[in-house]
Amino acid sequence: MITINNLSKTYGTATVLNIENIEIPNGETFGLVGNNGAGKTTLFSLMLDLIQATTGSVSIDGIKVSESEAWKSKVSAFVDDTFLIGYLTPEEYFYFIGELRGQNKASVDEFLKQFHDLFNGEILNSGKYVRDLSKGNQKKVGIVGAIIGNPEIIILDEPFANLDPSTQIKLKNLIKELSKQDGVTFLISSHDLSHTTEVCNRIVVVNKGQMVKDIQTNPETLKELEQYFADQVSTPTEAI
Amino acid sequence: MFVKFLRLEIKSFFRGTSVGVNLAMKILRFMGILYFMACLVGGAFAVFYMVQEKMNADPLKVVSKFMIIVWVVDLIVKYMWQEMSTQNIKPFLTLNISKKTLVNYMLIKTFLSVFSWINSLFFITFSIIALFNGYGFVEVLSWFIGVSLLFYLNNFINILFNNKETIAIVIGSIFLGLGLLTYYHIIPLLSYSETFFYGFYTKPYLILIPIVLFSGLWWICFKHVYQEFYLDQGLEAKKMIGRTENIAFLNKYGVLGTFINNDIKLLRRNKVAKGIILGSFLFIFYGLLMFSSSVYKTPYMMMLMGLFVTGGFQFLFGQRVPAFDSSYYPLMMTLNVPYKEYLKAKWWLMNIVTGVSMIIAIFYAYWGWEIYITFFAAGLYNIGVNSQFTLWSGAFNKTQIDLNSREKRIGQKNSFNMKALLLLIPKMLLPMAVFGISKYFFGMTVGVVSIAILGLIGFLLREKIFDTIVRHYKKEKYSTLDAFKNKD
Repeated sequence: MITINNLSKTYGTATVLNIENIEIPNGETFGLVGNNGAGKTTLFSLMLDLIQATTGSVSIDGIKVSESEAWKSKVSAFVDDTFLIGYLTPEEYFYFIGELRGQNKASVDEFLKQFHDLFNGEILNSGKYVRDLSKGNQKKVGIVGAIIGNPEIIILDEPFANLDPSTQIKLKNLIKELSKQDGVTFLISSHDLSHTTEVCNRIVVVNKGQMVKDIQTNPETLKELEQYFADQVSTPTEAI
Repeated sequence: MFVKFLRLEIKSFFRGTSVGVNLAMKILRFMGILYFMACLVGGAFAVFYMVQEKMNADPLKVVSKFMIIVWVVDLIVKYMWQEMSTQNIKPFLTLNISKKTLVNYMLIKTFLSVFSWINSLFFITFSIIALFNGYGFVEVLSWFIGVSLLFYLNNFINILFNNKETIAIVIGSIFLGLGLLTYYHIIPLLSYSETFFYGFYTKPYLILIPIVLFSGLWWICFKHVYQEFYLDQGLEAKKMIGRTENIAFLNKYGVLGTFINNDIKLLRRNKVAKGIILGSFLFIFYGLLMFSSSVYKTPYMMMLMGLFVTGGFQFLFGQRVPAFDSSYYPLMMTLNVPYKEYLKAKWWLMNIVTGVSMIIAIFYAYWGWEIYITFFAAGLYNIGVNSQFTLWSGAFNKTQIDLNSREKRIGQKNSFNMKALLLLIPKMLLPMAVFGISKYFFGMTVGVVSIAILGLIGFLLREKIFDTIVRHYKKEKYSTLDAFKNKD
């Protein structure tokens, strides 16, 4: 259970995020949508205690992330390429993360077998370091790395961007499977409304740091979201 | 067009490297550059008048005589550290600029690097002094142009042969062979050098040789770069082949072993880190300085040298401890990593290397066991005390290190921090004072033993010091994350 309480982040005079209250129960697949600069990455960074909140707090299972590091054993994340270690081969990267999450080499190898398809023969035994992989393949490495070691909560920032269509479909299946079978809580931010509505059972829309919508996904959700963002475009033009 | 490029260069200089460096550092760096410039200009004066008055010889002749050595050194330095920068060229490729212009721009850019123009300072000053001392204008001008062109020629040679290691090794062996032959007076290379370089002065028409060589090589280089001017050829950094490897026995030590394994990979696979390895290797020979001056023979200085000889790696690596991990610091901060384990892994790695350095340093015993015992005591101090303090000062170092950059090591900015400087007192001054004083009053054995005791105390207190560093790390977490995020 993740609880967000009166959370705000201010740089100088600009408030980039201000959220009164969100509760994310265990097992939920939580989608965060919004335009560039809406505050999605800021919110995730606050949840991961990578930046300091101006007011309020994020708690995971009742413990504030800024006060105790207990959350680190439950949460894993892939936000951007600063979560990758460029000079390792993909295997070494997986072993490294796995070992820190209590796995050993053999169990990581076993775990990686299911991604044979996803990796498309371009990642394991490719003779390349992570830094030399293409952006899309780096993303795959990061996402798979975030799943290693059975974390309870997985945070993915823009996981669909830079991925090819087949991989996007595989990723969606993977998320659904993990959330159904293991009860993993997912927090996913995306620009892509259709992917997000497909995998998430709850969607929150942020705009300029404010939460503007909180929807339990239903068949009408995609339309509703598209309508909302379309309105964002047309309002200013009408004003002129 | 070139003026536009030049403007971009100036912007990149001022906006790139100086971002995030504070004023004190800027001033210090500026003074450093001034110092080097002054050295070269002053060196020109010194060489000219020393040769003229002390040796009663023709300075131009003597300089010409040794020019071949300087030239070879220049080539080697350029080979090791100068790289044609391809990074900024990509945005121009699809703009309406002819390929010819771009290739020439890249070639000219190599002339702007410090390695290229800094020795010109010497030659310019030297030539001007020569003019004032009654040497003929045309002749000196011809000498100056000839010599300069030959030095700038090295840039082209470097472009053609960089990344071709076999050729470099062959050429290097030839240089070495010639050097030995000269040293043992089998061939008079230096007098050839004198005839050749002095020839520009006596027979100005000889300047045609360097002019032809220079323009010829420019043309060859131009063709070479022009042909490879594609993203998947010359403009791409050579990629190393990745191999998954692991030092298996370290796995027994859990998280600690995982981290040490990772650090070894870091050191082996990144150019920036390789410079550190080279640096720490050179530090082992720092003690040879004692033969240069009697200043170094005091117990204080012997201790200082011992600290450097055994602790080169520790100082170079330890003070960059979170900085080396800067490119994936957010990952480290979200993984379930206990800070203490992370620090301990670094601590072990540093101390293993210090231990190895202490063993290698045994060759100093050739000049007397006393020297080696002093260095050995310094090594113990490094292991017991300095390893912690270095990690501590590293925590203040928030300079981001881009491991993936192809930039070679020189020019890497160092952060400048008052607190880190203050930590130099326990790191350097304390052992120097203790050793110097106790040796003066009670003799060698007590000196060594007291340093060893200090090391032991530090070793026993290490958990306490680790706790302090961990507290510091936690306090500084957000600002460190923020500092490591700013890519320039």
